[in-house]
Amino acid sequence: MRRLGWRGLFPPRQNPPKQQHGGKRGGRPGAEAFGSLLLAVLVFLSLFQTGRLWYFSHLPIPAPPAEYDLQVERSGVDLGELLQPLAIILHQEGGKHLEFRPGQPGYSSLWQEGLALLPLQDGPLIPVAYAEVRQARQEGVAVEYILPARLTLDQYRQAWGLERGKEEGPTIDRLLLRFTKTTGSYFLDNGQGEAYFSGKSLTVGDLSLHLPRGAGNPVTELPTVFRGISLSEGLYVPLVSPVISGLALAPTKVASEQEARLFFVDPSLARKVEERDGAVFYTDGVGGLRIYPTGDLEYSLPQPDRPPVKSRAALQKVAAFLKAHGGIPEGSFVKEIRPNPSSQAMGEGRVEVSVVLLREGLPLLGGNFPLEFQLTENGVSRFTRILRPISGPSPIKRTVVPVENLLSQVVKGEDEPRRQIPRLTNVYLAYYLPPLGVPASYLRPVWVLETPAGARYSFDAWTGTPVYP
Amino acid sequence: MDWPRAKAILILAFSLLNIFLGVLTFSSRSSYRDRWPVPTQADIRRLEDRLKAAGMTLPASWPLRTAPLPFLLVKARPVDGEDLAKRVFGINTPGVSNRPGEKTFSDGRQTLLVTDSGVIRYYRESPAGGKAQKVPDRSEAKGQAEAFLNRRGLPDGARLDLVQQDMARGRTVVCFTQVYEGLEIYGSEIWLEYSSRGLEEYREKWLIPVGFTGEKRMLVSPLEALSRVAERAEAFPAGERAIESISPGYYTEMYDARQWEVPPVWRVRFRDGTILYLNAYTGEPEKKGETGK
Repeated sequence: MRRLGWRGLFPPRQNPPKQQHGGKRGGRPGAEAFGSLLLAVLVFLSLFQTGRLWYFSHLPIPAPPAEYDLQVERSGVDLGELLQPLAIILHQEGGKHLEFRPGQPGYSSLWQEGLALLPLQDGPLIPVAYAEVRQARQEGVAVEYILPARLTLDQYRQAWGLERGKEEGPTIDRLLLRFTKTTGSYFLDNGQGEAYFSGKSLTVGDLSLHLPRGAGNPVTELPTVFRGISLSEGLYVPLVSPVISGLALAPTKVASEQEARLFFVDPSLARKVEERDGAVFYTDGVGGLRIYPTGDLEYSLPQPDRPPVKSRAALQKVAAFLKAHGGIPEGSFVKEIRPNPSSQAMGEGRVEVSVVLLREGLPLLGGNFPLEFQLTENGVSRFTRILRPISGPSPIKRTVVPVENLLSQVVKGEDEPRRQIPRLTNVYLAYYLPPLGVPASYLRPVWVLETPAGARYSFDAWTGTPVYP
Repeated sequence: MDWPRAKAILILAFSLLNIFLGVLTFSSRSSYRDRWPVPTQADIRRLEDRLKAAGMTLPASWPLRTAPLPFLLVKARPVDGEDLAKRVFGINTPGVSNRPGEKTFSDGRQTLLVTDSGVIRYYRESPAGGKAQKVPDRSEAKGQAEAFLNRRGLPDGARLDLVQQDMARGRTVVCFTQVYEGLEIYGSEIWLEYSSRGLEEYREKWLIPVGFTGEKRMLVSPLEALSRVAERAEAFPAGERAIESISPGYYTEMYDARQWEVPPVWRVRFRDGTILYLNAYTGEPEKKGETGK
């Protein structure tokens, strides 16, 4: 078969043309010159037109509307993951308590058991004396779910994908399922010392308790009064002071310019300011985003306080915002939803949402939470993100100072500013997260003391010395 | 080679190519024109009505259109504070007080402040209870400013932007703005204030333009920019607000940064001296300038 390349399209002439009238080859000289001129004009014209098109093709295309966030929001966001229990306490016969933290063996099965039993408890919530709860913790089998934030039961039901209850109900931060004597569910606002009971019967048989052998960490309940300091009920600390290490940090991962520009309605309008301290600031003249050398982010978009936003809508906006900007980090739990201090109450203005991250079973927090938001119905007006990539446990491993020693120190006033602590609502171990933009080589374990006013004080868990932001 | 045949083929090919490019160019120009709406008389009348309702009047003239512009990349100009202090105070240079990012030299009568971002501010203490003096006239102040800057060394690209008497303070202000590639960089300026006793205050914020960066983008039309001004009329005090001029340029604040990108703006100047900078890509206000500046 004959091969036809591009040469085949224009095969060379086999026979030279005959010379006509004895004249020159190629025809008339005038026509030749005209052809050459025409070709030259056509070449120049094509170059000119190409250049012109190139110039105009570099004009901007009108920016697309900012529908990115809206689409995520419209598609619905699963809030259940953000509102799972921070810890589950299994109260056993004989006053033994085991703690299960997210990611540890037994946690998931206990949580799934709870989710399966909860829909059965749709009776009215009856206020009861807190002493009943105390009794439930000490006698027989009970499972206590320490929830991440104070929300109404209905809000939790929605987030967990359960049917909504008959009433919105009071705010709760704990759920306790009791399987002996008077069985049923207690819903607690533990921080406020309030308890509600829903009397549908539960039996031990309802709880299958397929727990791996040796699962759970033995914990003990702190006394409600310690040398003059009043403590909330239901605060659990390790039975034996654990030996724990800090968390070693991996090399910083700074958001790329492309990721940063996604924070703006029209990414191409964001201009870059390279600050002297190594931070990079982007602004479109309205909103601003600062990326610190540590990889931390600080975003702000001035917005009026109104219209206000409700808790559930706020959480949806938070989840949608996170999904639109890098995703929801693994181990995220909503820790606080509260009105901005300048607002009077929820639903009256700006709302603050704090999200904590759990690593190695302990929360990461310091002066700031890893993720903090301020928002209104219009969306997020302020967002900070302190995400430090963790490579694993740090080489140093020490025994944690017993919390009693720490409380004694606080009582003695060895730490001056903390002398005026009459009441604590929470005591727990955590990893200390440095403030926004402050570098760190590792994250150390700390004891965190929380007061009713929401103030948090951190103490080095190895030495008991205070840690200041 | 059969040259006539080759030429015929080339002519045919280039003719087809030119037809194709012509069609493309025509369609591009159509869309380009759509993005450059030329205002009609009716548009201008509507704008006049809107401005009038807001107590404003149109400037006498304004640019019909401006070429697309990219961001401008600038960096701060380093200033040797010690060296400058020696030149200002001579051998009796006072001690320096350092605050983060700035140095201040003061002998009680005059003060010099130099920041790491290259801002210079010099001022003389005003005599207490002094009698009101004659305010220097504009040409006198301008002459003094030019003579001063010629001695100090007028930076390249400086263009006289403002000469204005401030009767309330008894001063005449002279301001030079930096120009790069024919466009003003508002915010990069030299500001001098004269009273009857001479130079009272000197402020210098002068940048180093590195060059244009990013892609060229269309600007909102001056008509659109002026509409935005009418929309924001409530932000201004009541009364007649005659718009003196609207001009394109770049505007930036000073950042404590190594380098930064600056957006093009429309600068709207009112007759009373108030200035409004509108982002020329979005029409949103970048900053409302101070009166007289």
